[in-house]
Amino acid sequence: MLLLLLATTASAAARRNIFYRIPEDRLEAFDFETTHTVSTAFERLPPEAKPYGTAGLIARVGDYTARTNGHFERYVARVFRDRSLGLLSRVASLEATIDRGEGPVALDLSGLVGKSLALRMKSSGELLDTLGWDRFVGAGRGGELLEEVLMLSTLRLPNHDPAGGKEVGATWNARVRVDAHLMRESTWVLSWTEGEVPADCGRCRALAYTGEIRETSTDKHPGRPMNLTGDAAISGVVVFALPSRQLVAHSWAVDWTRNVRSERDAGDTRGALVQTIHAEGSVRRRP
Amino acid sequence: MRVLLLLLPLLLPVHAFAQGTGGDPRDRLDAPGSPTDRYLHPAELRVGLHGATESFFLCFRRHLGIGREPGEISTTFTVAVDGKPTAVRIDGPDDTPQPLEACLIAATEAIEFDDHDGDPVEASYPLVFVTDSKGARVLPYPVVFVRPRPVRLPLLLLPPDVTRGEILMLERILVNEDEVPDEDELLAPGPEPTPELAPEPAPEPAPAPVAPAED
Repeated sequence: MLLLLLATTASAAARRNIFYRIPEDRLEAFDFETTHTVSTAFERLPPEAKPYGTAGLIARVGDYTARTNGHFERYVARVFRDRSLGLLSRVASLEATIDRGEGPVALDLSGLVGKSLALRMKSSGELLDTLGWDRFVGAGRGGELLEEVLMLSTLRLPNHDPAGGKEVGATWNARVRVDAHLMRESTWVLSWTEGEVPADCGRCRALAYTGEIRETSTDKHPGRPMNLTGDAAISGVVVFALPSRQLVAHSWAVDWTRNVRSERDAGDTRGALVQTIHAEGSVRRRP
Repeated sequence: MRVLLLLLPLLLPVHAFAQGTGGDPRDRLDAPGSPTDRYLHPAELRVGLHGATESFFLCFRRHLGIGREPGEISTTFTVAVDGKPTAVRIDGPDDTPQPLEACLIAATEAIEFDDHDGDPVEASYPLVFVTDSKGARVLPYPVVFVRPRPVRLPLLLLPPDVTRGEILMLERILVNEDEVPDEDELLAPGPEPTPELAPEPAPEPAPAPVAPAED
């Protein structure tokens, strides 16, 4: 019995080596910047497209590069009974540009400033629930450009410490509720290693990761019957301060290929698009 | 083995037994009153409006005469991010007394909703009135009407400056079943669509009408 208790304690201690220490008594603020380079191709246009001049539409929505920068604040709004955290992240400032090959043009995304996203998460970064995506995403809102900023700043950490040149694998499924009809479901397979500490961070520790994401999501809203299958290659570096273990910075790069299909009532494919997305960005704790 | 079984409850969290597989509703991010939900829901608007029933009642009692047929006047307003009702408008029959309108506007403006992180919420609330021997009285209405803000094409990463006309065109190409598009109408972005106010998704069932009590 003693051995069992010791083993349980030892194993729990090993699991707790890597976690976020998010202060429960104050606001944290992070600067961010993102770049999304998007290319969209219509693989299949339904007959419903015939009346339209789709060339102009494709030129407008097809290929573009969007850049954002700003800062967001977050705080622990609630500690749940299982000690998971109810983290509230709010966009505090945001500037953006879009470039369709003719130079950057300013974007007005002021509607996103003040919007908040709630995450229920464990200190390991394990995501239990989200609330508020329906206020960020959707055509014409632009909040998708902040998806990585708000989600990767609490990226799930590995169960074991990849110290001493070890490579630690981590696999999990993520479910992100957009609204009552759409749950984005993805599988993450990451490999963590010791990362290179930035020169400007004296007492810090860096963890690097590379891996893949696979998403299969079905929109069950009767007015937008679509589904998405996608694969991504992702890499990044998470930097913590020592000994506080608070997040100092996180930079990432993600390359997505997404197949998006709309369906008719009988389940036949109506329209099909392929989107390739290169997203890179970073968050950095404000001094 | 027996000792192990006795110790088992100590090794597992107690709430694992208490919550069952569905979890406790209080542990939802959007549980009523949870600080993690910073958005205003129609049910919260309804609570605020029902809290003002007495003010609405006094307005009707003071400014609407005896002998009128039962009817409906609605108050339409926008809840700003600080929770204050703004742009209050009263819509009713042509012969609605001006003092009643002013009183209802003041009663609506006095309501304090919670501050929120969403866009300003446009809402409309029917004030259904009946008259008795002492004058008119208002009945709490079970539904608040809010302007819907649907999430459109969330599986596509579209440029943030996509126009409403382009969104409509994409929707008609990809998902709308029964609309035959008018090319002239859609090639130009056109004016902003003005969707009709729609009722909240799942209103509580309306209580059975109760005859006003005799004082």
